[in-house]
Amino acid sequence: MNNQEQQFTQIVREHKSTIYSVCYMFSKDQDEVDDLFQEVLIKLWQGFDKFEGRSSLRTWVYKVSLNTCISIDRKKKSRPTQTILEGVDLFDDSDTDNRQLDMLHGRITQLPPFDRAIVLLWLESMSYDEIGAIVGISPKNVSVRLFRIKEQLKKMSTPAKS
Amino acid sequence: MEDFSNTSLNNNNDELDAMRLQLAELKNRIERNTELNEKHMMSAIKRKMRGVHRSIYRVIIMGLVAIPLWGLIGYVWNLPWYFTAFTIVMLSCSMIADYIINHVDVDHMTDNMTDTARKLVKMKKYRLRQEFIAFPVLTG
Repeated sequence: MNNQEQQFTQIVREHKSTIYSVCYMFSKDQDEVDDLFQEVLIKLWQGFDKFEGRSSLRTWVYKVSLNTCISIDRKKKSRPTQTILEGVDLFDDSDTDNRQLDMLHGRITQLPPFDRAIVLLWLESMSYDEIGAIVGISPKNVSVRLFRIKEQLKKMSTPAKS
Repeated sequence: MEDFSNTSLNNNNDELDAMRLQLAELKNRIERNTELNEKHMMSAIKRKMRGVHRSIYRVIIMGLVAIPLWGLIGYVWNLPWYFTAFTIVMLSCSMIADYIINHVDVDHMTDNMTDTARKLVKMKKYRLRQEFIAFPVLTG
């Protein structure tokens, strides 16, 4: 394996959880997560030699992962799917933990793809500047969108009054 | 009198903080399951490759039927020999190119992510070129 390949492998290993969690939030079943992960892997490899280091690796990985997931999400047609945590032994943990992750997944996937990207980055404690640089909008626009997203998430968690 | 003006804001912040912790927990789990996840990904990629192989074999079988059939049609309809020959050559080249580009030795595929990404990128690039060339030639 040459130097470039070693570097790429190292980057994928270090940021695998980031890539996987992004793919997880843009998919409805295990097959989709796998497909998205492969596509992101391809895009990262294609863009690797063009990466000039102007942004941090983390920012670059996020940018590629989110852009790939958003563009695939726009192309795909809806089909009947199984929710990702049903009968899938992906995480060998308690049911309570899985239910919480299921709730998180359920809330975030109700948002439009672009808003999903913004909220994921915000949940990673990134600044408005960083978020804006990744998704391609101004920090002010990020703050406006985030305010609306938070309101939407708040409505999701508030039970509807009869 | 108690001030409830900040209560809903605080509740919202608490929920958002909880979501933040849940996302962090998700990422921790992924890290802890490193080996499992990589093997899972690789088996998914291999499964996809095997699906591609099945479609290649279908194309080859169809080609083996279509080529002599086209020769026969050309003879029966009295088409110019060079036209029939050209189409047969193009079909054959397309079949061979499809096999060369898309056939990957799945069972000996390494579990190396970089190697896999490289192969997938090469496949996609050549497939695109193949489509750009084959489509106008065959329809022209």
